[in-house]
Amino acid sequence: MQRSRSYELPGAPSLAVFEVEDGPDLSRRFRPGEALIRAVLMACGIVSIFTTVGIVLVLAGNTVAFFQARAWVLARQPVAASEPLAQLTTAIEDHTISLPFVYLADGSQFNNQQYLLVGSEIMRITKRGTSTIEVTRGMKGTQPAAYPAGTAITPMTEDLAKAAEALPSDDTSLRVSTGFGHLFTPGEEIEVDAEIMRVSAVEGDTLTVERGVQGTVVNNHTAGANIAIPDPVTFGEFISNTLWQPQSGEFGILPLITATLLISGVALAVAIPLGLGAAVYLSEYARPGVRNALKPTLEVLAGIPTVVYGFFALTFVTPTLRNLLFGASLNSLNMLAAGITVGVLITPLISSMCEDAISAVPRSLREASYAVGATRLETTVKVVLPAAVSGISAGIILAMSRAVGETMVVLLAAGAGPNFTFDLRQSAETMAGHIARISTGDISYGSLDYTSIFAVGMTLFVSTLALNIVSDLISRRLRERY
Amino acid sequence: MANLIDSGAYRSQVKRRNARTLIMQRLSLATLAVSIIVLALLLLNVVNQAFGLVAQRYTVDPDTLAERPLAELSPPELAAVLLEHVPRRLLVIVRDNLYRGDPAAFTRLTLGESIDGDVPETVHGLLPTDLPEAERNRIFAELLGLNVSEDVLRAIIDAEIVKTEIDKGWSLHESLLNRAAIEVDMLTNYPDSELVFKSWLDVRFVTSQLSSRPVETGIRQAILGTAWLLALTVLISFPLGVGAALYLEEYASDNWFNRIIETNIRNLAGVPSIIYGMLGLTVFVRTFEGVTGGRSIVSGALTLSLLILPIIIISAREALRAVPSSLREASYGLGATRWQTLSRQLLPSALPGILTGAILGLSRAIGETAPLFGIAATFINTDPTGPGSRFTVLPMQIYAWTGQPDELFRFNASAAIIVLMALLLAMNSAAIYLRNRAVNQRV
Amino acid sequence: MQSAAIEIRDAEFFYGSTRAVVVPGLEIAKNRITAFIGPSGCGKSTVLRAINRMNDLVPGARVTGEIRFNGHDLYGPDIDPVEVRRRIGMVFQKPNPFPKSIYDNVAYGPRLLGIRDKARLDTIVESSLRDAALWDEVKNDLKKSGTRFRAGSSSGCASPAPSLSSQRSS
Ligand SMILES: Nc1ncnc2c1ncn2[C@@H]1O[C@H](COP(=O)(O)OP(=O)(O)OP(=O)(O)O)[C@@H](O)[C@H]1O
Ligand SMILES: [Mg+2]
Repeated sequence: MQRSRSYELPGAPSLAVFEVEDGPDLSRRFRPGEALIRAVLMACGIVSIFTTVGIVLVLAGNTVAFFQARAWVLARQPVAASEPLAQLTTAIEDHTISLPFVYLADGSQFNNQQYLLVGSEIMRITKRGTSTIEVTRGMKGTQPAAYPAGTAITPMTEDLAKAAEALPSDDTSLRVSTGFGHLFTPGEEIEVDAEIMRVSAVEGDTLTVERGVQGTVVNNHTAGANIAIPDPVTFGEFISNTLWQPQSGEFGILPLITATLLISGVALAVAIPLGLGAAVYLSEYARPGVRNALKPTLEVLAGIPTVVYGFFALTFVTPTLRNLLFGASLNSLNMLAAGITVGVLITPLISSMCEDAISAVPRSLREASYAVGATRLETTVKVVLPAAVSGISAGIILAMSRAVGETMVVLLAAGAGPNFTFDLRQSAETMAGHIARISTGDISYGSLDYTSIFAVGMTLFVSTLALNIVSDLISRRLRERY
Repeated sequence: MANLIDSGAYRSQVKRRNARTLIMQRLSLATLAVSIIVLALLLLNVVNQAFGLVAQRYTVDPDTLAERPLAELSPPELAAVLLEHVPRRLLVIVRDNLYRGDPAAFTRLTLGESIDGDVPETVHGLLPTDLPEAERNRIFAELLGLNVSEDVLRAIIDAEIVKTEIDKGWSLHESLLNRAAIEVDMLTNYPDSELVFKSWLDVRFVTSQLSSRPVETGIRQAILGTAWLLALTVLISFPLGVGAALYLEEYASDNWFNRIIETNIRNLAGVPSIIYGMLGLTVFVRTFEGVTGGRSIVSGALTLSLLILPIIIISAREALRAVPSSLREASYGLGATRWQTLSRQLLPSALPGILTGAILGLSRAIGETAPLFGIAATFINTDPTGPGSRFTVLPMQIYAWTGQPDELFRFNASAAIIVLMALLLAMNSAAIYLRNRAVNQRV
Repeated sequence: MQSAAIEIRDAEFFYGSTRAVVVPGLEIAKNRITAFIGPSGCGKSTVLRAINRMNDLVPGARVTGEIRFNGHDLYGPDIDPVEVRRRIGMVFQKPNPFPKSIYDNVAYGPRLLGIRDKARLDTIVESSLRDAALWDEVKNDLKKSGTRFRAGSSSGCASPAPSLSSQRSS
């Protein structure tokens, strides 16, 4: 009853302390339940660290394995395929790389990457024009020289080195097809079918070999068996080669990177105006009712599965572009449609980040601008957007990271093979698209094809991570400012 | 000064400046309009290819099968049609539709043991192999008539007897606007076929097996696979995500270790989903093959769980932060321990918000294809039976069909997209409902 | 004259690096009602909250000096804040009802201490509400949401501990 009276004291804040038996035990006690729960919850938090560690280990481990591996590529060399089929129309100096020629005698065409024999020099075509071709001079150990007009041009085809006669399991001398002996050097390892041998001596076209090296099984080989030589994958090749052809030991990531950048570039070109415009409209112009009605559109766009965007790109965007703009010059798989669609896909991301950045601009800034008589446009362009620029750029960078990692759209709409080109109408494959396509196929674990996608994955991971971190740093600086 | 403001030059300048504002407003509205139009196109494009005219042909005309149209027949009558036309196939049909066990064991079991459904007393103890063939087929037809619905029986008749073939399909807008050209095309190229309007999305499509023929295929396995995958993903990611959020919000002090966890979660949210696929493929499918069963639903669910954990954690933390601190103080003030406060006050208050986030995470998981490459199958025609089964999911089928050279599969892909989007719509409506309830409660 | 239940000596109360209150010395007697009076922001709540270690929940809040409860240093290294709060109750300045029924609000404290017996909870709830002079007002609405009732602060009155009240008249 004493208690209730203490509450009835009129109009006064009250503090009441009552008798407590002496010596309550206030000391810290161990609560096993609490400790257990804390540990369990902490473990949940740590799972995320394991995820990252897992990603890094998986990617790095296989990437290292990739760079330590060597591809076996069939030993081949160009041989003159026919009579000379063209001739130089003008003389060339030894530094000239444009090769003027008259059309091929049999009506066929030169191909990109094809070898040519001019005089005794072997050249390789890098770019085929209508009346000139660009070539790399002095291939395969030949010397560049000057040639007069009228010099014959002989197209070459690549021939494989083969065993010229059968190789029983107890034999150590391997004769290779005529003229191919010089492809091999003593000490080098070669592969015939699945057996690896070491070349101990070369004499003309006959190799003396040590059989069954590296634990491979010694076998009988028939005449005509293909001979492969090792082609180690180097980091230099990885970042500079413009060809990605695992079958022939070419591992250059450049085509994948150019395609990724081109598609992301198109995507940003679409998404920045759309996203920024939508954000400006929603935060600066729209009345609340309109805003609440329109904003969900962007949220719906953000929630549509990417495979549906892929379907859209392939079955709507490409046909529409063809009908309206490009006609048949647009490949049915092309980077343009993929880029535009990825742009639509990242628009909601850009617009929501930009809207946040714009609404973080303090009202006082806007009011200061209106107070000196600026119109709404002037306030938006000269005050609000500059003040929000770091938030906006953080959004754009994050969207770029999203575009770089986007898989389904590029897989369905952009192409099914790496292609080093800057023509948006052509098909090409991005890093993410390549990984996806290779992992659906039934490739054998541990093969070079398989580890190669991890090297690509590592590149992709590092680049998106870098973009995310930059975006994060920028937006944190923004938070500090206001 | 007054002169300046009154001057015509000033007025026209103001007019110009205001006009520019209007232009800007229109432009920015236009960009938003573009987004809306694209959304509309995207949806229309799907609908456009899910319905339309097809050039269709039968091996047997369905109108000749019975006195009355098939649509009016009861199940026993439909079963009788099967008995009349394809008696030899009845064993397989019964096995596929009324029996759940190992196909090879079917003929070694009595009908009472094997059939999943009503079996008349008189045939309960019979073994299929004991009976004379005619008698056996009659019993099978009776069982089908008793236990299988009309729709399924009609689908079976279609697949077994009528064998519909589709030579070509047209999109909805072609069908509506270009009928004349289509009819010319029909006469010249497909004179034996009949032009009918087909809805590629129907009950049969949703309930029947995947098949390599576009006319026949359904998405049953894909829907079951999606459901299994989703269920396991919830079981794994929800407790982990909420646990991590509770730890970070309520237990973690501000030290380097916890800051690493936080930064890490933010960065994981931005890792491309295909990278998660590589992680899943290497770790769950290969390294722990013995535990997960390789390319199984568990592997898929674990992979997707890792993918959506950051989403769940981040949104659960926001929900926890939104709980008014007075609740926390009141509870601690009464001498509650941390866990007592969490479990009795914070979690119940934050639950709607946490659930909203979890549903959004799951809708992300439902639509993901890229992380499942190499884990889910692109084609499979057995139902998933447990966490260790091989499986496929809706987006994977959509991907597989879209990429098929046979363009008829595009119609299947569209129909599957509608199903997937309906599923997503349902989940998101649930999320919005929860969010609104949470907002109302707090007021 | 009874001995002091709570003694504060040379205490300084900080929020981050700002010093909010200084209390050179203060004794709060047993079985007496003691009131802190002062202008808004002078630190009444800060001192009260420090007595049952509620300030532990505010990031950056610190206390130096000595606060003793029945002779125990409340900020001693071996003291369990949960136990402190179980013995020193607190009624908040603003009502802090949980989003639960009035009954559950009042029974929250006893339940924390492990009382599950329905009959016993009923008695505690009733006597607490009677003590707070709220019983007649709310007895028919015990199962309704407590949020709308002034009885919000009643959750504090069923704490078995003596209460620190910072309730203003309402
Ligand atoms: N969480 C906090 N962080 C930083 N400073 C705080 C915090 N809480 C209170 N303060 C500061 O400590 C001082 C004392 O605040 P306190 O709430 O104890 O005052 P009060 O006497 O209870 O005021 P009132 O009569 O308004 O309740 C004030 O100057 C206040 O600004
Ligand atoms: Mg106060």
